[in-house]
Amino acid sequence: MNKNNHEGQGDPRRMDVSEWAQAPTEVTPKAGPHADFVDVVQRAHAHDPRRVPQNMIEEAAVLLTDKVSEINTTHRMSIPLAIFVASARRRVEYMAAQRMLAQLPPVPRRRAPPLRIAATLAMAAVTLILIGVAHDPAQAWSRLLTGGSHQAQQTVDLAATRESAKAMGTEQVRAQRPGSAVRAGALQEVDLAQPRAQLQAQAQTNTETGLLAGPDTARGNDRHPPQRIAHRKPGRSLAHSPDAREPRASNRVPHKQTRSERLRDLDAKAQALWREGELEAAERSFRRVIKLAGRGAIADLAYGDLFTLARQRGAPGDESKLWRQYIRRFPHGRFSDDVRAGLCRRANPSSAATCWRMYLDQHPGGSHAVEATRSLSDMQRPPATDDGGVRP
Amino acid sequence: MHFDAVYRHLCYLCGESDIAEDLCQETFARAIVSIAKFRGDASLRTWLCRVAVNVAREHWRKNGTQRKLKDELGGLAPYLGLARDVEATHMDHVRSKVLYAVLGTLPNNLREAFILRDLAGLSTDEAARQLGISAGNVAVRAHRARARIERELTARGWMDTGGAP
Repeated sequence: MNKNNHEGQGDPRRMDVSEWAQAPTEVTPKAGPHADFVDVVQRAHAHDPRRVPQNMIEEAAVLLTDKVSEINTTHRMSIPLAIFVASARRRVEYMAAQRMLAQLPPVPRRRAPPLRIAATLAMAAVTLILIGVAHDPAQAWSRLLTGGSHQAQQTVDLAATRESAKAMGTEQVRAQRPGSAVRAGALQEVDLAQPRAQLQAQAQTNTETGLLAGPDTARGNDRHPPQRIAHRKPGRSLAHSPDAREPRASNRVPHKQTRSERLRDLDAKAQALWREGELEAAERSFRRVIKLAGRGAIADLAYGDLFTLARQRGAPGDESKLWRQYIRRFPHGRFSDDVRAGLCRRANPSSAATCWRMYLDQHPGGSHAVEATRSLSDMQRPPATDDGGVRP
Repeated sequence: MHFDAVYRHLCYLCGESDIAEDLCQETFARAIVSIAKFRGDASLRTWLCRVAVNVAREHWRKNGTQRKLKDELGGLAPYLGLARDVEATHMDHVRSKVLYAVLGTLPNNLREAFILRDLAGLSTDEAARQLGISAGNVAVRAHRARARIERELTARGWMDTGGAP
């Protein structure tokens, strides 16, 4: 009803029919009925404060602050539950918004292996030493070598060493250790006869001692040249000498250790699977060892296990295939003698002779040489006739 | 592209951002593995949300949610007499915790229907698609869930104060 039309008349309840008839019949879609829920609750509270306590007014206000969509979905539940739902929604939306606004997490950085850290620190220490000796290299040189301290004997100035090496020409060897004192330009002397493990241990010791060496260590009174100096071809730079390749090898030590540990674990796993009778799984593990080890000794040994496994599984075809694979990868491997002989035994009669001949060429003193010779002579002998004689 | 939607969905399902984060990763991992099973009947987002519901179900099963959340609900009792001038955010937090604790006491089928329909505000059809049940079933389950939640809240004294601590 048009309320305004009634205003100005005596009785607002009376309505002029003609006006009513002329009134627009279209409903203007301005807005739907808007119930002030808080007002309703407030009035209810005024009527009966006991049944409609004050907190209900506040709750109604909370509800109205929620989004329309929330109200639409909460109309099916009681008001107290709707409040809980609205709170939970706000919290979840807050969490989601927080997550969306969060920065991208930083890329995880690999922790440097302890050896690398030690090597870096050692390099820093050696740099300090070199700065200390820069003013008088010869003096520091002799002090370092004869001053009685272990690190001084191992850490010398590279330029001075080159000169001394030329002068002395002794049969000493030099090994540079990357990441240790030598990498920073100093020289380290190592006996070639030392086993690899010992060299590695020494490298680590040098790294550790390098940390202790300060500029003061580099100064001394003794001017003697180093007792052990590098042996290298004249005119060939240190970086290109065979010994100079050693540091790169030792630099790979952490990586090799990791790989060897993995290989060891894989091998152990394969053995365990084998013991448990999981032949296929064990075979897979051994193949992974081979793949990872490449042409290393562990791969060579793993092939041995694979041969046994293949035999255990009763797959002669697989066995021959493995043998051929092995020979391709390890032509001089530890099983090459037996594997070649095995292949010759299973070869076609037409190619067996060639195979045995090749075997004798490659393994003249091989453990199957007698068998090879006998087989060859048997093949060369003319076949027996029906009457027991020999066919010409 | 769908990460935010799935994450929000999982926030609704489990009520904790840390858990939601973890489950979200799991959801996408599973989605990658089983993307071949996506037939294109529904949108990719709906399919992902459905995977998320399965992941959440598994999480509930693994973590014995019902017993744990009942304990948590008991632990929230001291908040009942909390002054009303407490910060609104904190009140939201407490109410949310209470509601999720009560939800944890419900059977999974009622809980997920209530969460998707009433909490996340999905349409009945959408909730039904995600749960793999009919729309009528969703409505019935959500209704039952509401009744049980109200009963539980009343029994624990949360409805007496009008649901507000």
